[in-house]
Amino acid sequence: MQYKSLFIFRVIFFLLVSAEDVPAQYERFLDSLRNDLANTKNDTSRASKLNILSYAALDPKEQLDYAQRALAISEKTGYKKGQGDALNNIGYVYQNEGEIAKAMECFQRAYEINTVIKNQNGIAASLNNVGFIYYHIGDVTKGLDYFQRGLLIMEKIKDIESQLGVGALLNNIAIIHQKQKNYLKAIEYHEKSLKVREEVNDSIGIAATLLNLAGIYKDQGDILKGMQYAKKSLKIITSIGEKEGIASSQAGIGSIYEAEDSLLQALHYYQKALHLDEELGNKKEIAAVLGHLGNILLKQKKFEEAEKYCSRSLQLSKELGFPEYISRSSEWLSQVYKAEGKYKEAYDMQILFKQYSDSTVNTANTKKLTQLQMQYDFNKQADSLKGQEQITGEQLKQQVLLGKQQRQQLQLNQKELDLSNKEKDLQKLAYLKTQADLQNEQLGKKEKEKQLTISEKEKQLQLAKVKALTQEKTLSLLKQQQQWFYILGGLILFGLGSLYFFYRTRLHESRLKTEIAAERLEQHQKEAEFQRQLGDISLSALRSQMNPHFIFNCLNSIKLYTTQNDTLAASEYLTKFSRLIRLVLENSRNDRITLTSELDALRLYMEMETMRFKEKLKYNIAVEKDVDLDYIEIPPLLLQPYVENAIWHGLMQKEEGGRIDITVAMEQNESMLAVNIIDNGIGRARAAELKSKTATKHKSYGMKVTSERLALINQIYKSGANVTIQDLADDKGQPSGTRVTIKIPLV
Amino acid sequence: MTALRTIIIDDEPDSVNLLKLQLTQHCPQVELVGSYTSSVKALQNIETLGPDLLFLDVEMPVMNGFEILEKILHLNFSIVFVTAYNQFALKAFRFNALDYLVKPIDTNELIEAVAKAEKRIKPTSTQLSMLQKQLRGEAVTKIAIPGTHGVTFIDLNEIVFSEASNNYSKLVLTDGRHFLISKTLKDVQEVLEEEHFLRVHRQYIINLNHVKQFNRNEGILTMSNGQHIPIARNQKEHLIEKYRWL
Repeated sequence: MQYKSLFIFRVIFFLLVSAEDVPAQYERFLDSLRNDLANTKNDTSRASKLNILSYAALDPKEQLDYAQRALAISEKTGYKKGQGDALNNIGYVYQNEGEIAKAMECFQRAYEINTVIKNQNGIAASLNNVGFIYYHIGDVTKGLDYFQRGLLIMEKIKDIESQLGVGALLNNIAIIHQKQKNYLKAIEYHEKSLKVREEVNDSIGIAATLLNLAGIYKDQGDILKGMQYAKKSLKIITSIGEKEGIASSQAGIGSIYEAEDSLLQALHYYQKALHLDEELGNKKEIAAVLGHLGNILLKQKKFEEAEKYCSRSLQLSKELGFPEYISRSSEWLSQVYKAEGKYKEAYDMQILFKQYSDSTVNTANTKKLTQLQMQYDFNKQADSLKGQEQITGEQLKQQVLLGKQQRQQLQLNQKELDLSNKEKDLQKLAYLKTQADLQNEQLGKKEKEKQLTISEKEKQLQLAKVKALTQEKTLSLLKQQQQWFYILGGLILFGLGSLYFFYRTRLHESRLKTEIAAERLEQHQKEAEFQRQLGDISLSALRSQMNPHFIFNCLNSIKLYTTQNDTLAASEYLTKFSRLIRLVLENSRNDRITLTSELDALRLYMEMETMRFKEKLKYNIAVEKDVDLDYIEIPPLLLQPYVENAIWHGLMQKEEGGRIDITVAMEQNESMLAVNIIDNGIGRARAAELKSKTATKHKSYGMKVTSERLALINQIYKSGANVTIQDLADDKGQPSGTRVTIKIPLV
Repeated sequence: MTALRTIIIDDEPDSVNLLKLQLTQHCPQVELVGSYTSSVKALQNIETLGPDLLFLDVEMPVMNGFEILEKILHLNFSIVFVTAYNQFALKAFRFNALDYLVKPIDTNELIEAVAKAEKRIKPTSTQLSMLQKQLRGEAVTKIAIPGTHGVTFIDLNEIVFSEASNNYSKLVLTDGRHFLISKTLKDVQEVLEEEHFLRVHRQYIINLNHVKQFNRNEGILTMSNGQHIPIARNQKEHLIEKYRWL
């Protein structure tokens, strides 16, 4: 979710190496950086290299250590860029550990330093990081403001480093919209971010964006798509070996399984994520994952464990001070308490939840947010007129003024909006001015300090030299005596060391071997499972169209007409019936069939159902003019089960019957086929109620219209079809039927 | 001979019409007093009409055949279930010795079913409650054996084994009683095989709970009542698998 000031180096690395065995290669790359550092004597380069290492290192402790060393050297030598970068990197580590105040201080100092030396990328990075903290303490409007300011700066730079930053900022803006449940905007920004990240090959960023998109799809109820995106994300991030990202993706997959109520799977992924997060000491993620785990244990009725997890989650959330986390954990804990019958505690938690949930998502925030968004778009327009620019305190002042003038000319009729803008600009100006004054002052002070320390140090150096000369003599004497000691001690140490090393490699090897064996086994099982499902689906697909119940009832009707000597009706019925059987058998043999074939089968099927139920069933199929029926191909046996479902569970449950309307149209520049199946039956809620009343175990035509079936069809026929089901209501809000929309991407 | 007051319930108009036609052509003793395509309407009238015979479709929307039965308080008429295709229900009918017909209905079978109804053989409440239980997926504990004077229920645990004899099957019980039923061993196997029974031989189906000893070399089982039963060679593995014998 967040990026550090120096992203360029890791990316360059990934452009260089091949895909195989990336984690090991990455370790080697880090080693080469470390060696490089050891051979560098110049302080400025040492500071830069330490910063690079801090960014590149995967272990948070290492990250912090390198950054602090970079900061110390940079401060000693007055290397400003080094200081700014180091502060951003230190803040990043603090922030992950939940040390919000410390992190904020670092980012603000980094911002000040970068402004002084006009390091645009650094300024934007600091703005982003400050925004991130605001976001996490629940002030989303401020967060968004900072992100957008960072974006404005970075979009103008166009080097790789800033491109990476733009990707991250777009991502962060998207997340804010996501949190405000403004999904359309969120998807828009994520897609922008994905585009930028793909351009610069930012694999970690791509994985993060995919994961975020997965979250949106999950929230929207499209479990299937969510799972696809999350798994893709995990695949990418695993190939890189970045543990933080791997943990996030695993938790993401867990949450999707959780939403689907596949508790065991969810538990499995969350535990994997927790393991990694604990290894990394990433409190933020630990808090979240613990809460989810508690919630699942609650569903499994393991109350004691659930309480343990949820209270640990709450404890951590309180330490972090993130309102969103506190509200979530307290709600879960409240539910656990309730289930345990501890009503007093449950009530307390509910109050905590209320208190904190108000501060995270509320309508006032959302409103403010859209205003900010408008203002940002507006500023951007005005800015693009100004062209390239540099932002020192003074120049920015001029440019803002210039922009304001242009704006006034352009927007004479929008006086009200303008007024508020002016006010904001004024505030900005005042802020920037005091900022500049402050920095000048600080700069002066630091310069003096530096000179003082330098002369001080020189004195110390000379004193030390004299001391060293006298000491050298006594030392050489002592050395001779100690030599024997050293040789003996060295031998013993070497022996012990090699023993330990030998043992360790053995242990590691055997562990690796068992892991590989386990993975292979899992792979085999998955394959077998897929094969089994493949067989199942072809069979069930055929059976769903050739429902024996349907077949025998048709034959029964034919028998009636022959018994009545109504040869015309009997012959007509028989002809239709055989045509339908022939079509279904033919269609089920092909991977793809023309829309004409599918609709013919569907029409025949509905005609036969109409004949069975007489005036109780009416239907219509409407195809838009631009749909090329003989050219478009879709997977076979896709539509009929939904129609059958609508008839049996929607229409036939009504005494007077009903009608089915099927519409076929093109969407999205003819790249998508949309089929609507609309019935005016009793609706899903009532149907489910009736179903639950039925005590009998079997359901011969209870067609399973599940995402599972569609997923398998997609897998087997390599299509990306998706289904949304919408409950319809009349003017009075009473259920008035169901609309099933099937969207099939056309290749 | 009094007329057989008959009701037909089926959600498909064609099915109702065909059955009406078949009854008037082949079963003169039937007097049709009502026919319904809506199970709700049928339920409203069924008890006031007081039929002797009910043809009841199994699959119907809103309320299926079994649900209608659950709601009728005084069930004192014969029932013939009708279904287009429902293997699960068919099995339950057979297990509980209830009458059923499959669509399209065979005229001879229809005549036979009506003739049986004329003898005023009504399903007992045990038969129906066992049917409901089975359809709900609960464990089956009893099997219904039709006889000349109605239906006898036998606890599955009481059956030691079943032996084929021509077109009949003999059930041997723990207390030494024997029952001869007019079904082939294949039919019995179909009914029992999902429970703790196994067909170990062309001629025998055994209750796995009543096996006392297994002589592997000779392939002979000794049952709890002392009876020796041979095992077909290809069933040996099956049996070992079921018992996890080593």
